[in-house]
Amino acid sequence: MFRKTVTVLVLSFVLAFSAWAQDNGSDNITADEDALFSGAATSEEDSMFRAESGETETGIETGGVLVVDIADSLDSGLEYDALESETVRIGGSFDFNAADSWMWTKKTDGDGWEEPAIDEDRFALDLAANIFFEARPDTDTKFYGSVDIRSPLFTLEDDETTPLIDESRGFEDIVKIDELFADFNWNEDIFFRAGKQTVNYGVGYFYSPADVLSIGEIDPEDPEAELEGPAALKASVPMGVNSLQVYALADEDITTAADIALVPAFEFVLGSTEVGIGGYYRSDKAPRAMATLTTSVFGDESIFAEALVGYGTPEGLTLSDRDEWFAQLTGGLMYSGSVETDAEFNIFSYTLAGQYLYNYGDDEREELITMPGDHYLTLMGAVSDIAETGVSVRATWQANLSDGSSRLYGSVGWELFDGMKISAGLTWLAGEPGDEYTTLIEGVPGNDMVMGTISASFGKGSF
Amino acid sequence: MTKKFLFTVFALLLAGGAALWAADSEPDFAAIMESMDMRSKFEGTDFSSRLTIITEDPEEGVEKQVLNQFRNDDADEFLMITLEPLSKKGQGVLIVEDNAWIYDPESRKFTHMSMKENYEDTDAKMNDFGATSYAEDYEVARYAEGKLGDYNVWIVEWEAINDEVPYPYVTAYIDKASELLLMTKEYSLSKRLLRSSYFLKYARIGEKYISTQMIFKDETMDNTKTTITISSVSLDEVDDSIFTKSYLERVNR
Repeated sequence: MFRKTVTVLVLSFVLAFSAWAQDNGSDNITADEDALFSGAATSEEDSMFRAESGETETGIETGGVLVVDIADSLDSGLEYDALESETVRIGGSFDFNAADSWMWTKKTDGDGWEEPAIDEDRFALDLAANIFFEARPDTDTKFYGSVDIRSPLFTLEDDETTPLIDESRGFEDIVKIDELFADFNWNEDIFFRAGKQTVNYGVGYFYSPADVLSIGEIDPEDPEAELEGPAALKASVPMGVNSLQVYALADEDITTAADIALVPAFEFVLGSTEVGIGGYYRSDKAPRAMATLTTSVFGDESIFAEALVGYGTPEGLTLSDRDEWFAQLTGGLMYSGSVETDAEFNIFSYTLAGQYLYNYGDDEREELITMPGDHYLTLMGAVSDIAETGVSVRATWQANLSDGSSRLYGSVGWELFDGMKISAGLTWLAGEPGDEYTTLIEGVPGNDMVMGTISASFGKGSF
Repeated sequence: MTKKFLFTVFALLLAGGAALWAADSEPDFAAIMESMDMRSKFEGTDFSSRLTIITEDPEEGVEKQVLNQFRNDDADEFLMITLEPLSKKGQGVLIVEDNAWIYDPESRKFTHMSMKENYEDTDAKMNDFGATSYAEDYEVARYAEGKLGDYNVWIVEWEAINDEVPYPYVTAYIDKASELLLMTKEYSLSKRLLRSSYFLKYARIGEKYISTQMIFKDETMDNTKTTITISSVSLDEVDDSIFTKSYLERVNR
């Protein structure tokens, strides 16, 4: 009896100890199926993981061997897939837009608004397309070309019954070469692009003084639009995520080979910061040095800055030759995010952006038509796809802080379905007569002006 | 009798010892997660493969994308290039460490994107394409044993220990025998089920594993799911020039 008692005690002790050990072996992890919030797998999920091959009720092929062995010596050659094509690719985009607009200017005595003498109510049809080709005869070579086709069919002024058609417009006014270039490389170490090409050197969103390459200028109402690029030979030397690029640039006013500009640029990454430094040299123009920076402190926002420093006569100032330093400094911030319900239903997506620009060293700058001020600020807020309805709202405020004039543009757009979008916009130009944003026509000082626009886009898309 | 008693005690101690051993052999989930991460990481070699992504959406219909992906896990580099649809051919994303760039062929601009975002219009997150980092991102809160189809599994609840992951709570179904992840249920902060992921097939290359058939089901919308199939798997060396913005620009139109 005693022995049996001892046996039971020892057994109890051993089992109790092992249970204690088991609890402590798992630290703070709970081994309790009921505590799991996931619940059991569904029958369809179970059927996905059967040993025998099959198909679930929703048509998913399932089961069979979980692991398949693969030899480690296969050469997939996948890196060349996208570099070569037996066919020439044709693609493009299309848009057909109708817009009606109205304008009012503030009376010179400040008492109320009136229709301006310089403009009237206007209806316009705009038909536009871009068509491109891309040929890749081998992995080292690519030929690319694209043309813009743009034709305002007619413009109908409010008090006229006959559409106003500008018959002086020629073929070159309707069809314009957007890009036309060839890619080739030397030993896959130096990569060349030769021809007319879109180049986006700068990082600024509304102002990009460091972009000394592009012919086009950023439109604050559409800051992400493609800018027209120059005819150039570009050589790129990638060094990991860093890269050295040199452009031989043929500006539109070039007359001799000596007028070719050289633009070397080096971009490198430091942590999560990308820095670019570059220079611009052309024998008959002011030499310039550029620097760009993009970074993020909190991960979701983008901080960007540019600097341009030159010596001589700044671009656009032709009033007199000067020998002095000039500079443009700019910095900005962009933040994008979305507000979602717990079920990942997108209430809206939003983008906030702001950028400041400082012009230094141009005492004759105030005589310029565009950007005559020393200080500029642009703020933008955009909310898109509100409650997944396709409704978007956008507002942009651009100010010349030096003369106090500003331009506010707000719009509401609604994408009814793919290919059909309607929009309403309001532009308010504010300032004193003679200020930058109230001077619509060179030499004619204006006043505050409001312009309303309703437009519809039909069939916009790409192919 | 004494012998019989001693034998009984010995047997009981043996049983206790076995129980203790069993206690010691309870799953070391930290080690399992590290093992899963290590097996998905192709260190000392490059990795390339082709992905076929089928997205089924009741409103948008069925869309097919074909992409090539390249990984250099030693340098934390990743590149993905679209082959289909033709209208997006050449578009892609380059990831170097925590930086991701996409290239817009329209404006010819590079833009930065977060690793938490979905890849284009699919239910797959950017995190789904690279090597896993479960051990760094999650800790185990609870576990249980269970069955998933014909597999004996650990059902493990993970809680995120950083905000780098798209889902703060995950329930993982891990095959006991192979320690491969078979299914995950991914939850929001309020523990609402947002996505179910199924890893139906794996390829083993040496000691490394990669899931070659995955299904991501959006649990917030009925009948919305993304199926990813991986083929043309290779560990052959990928040229360093591939993991550059220059290459991304070059393959674009």
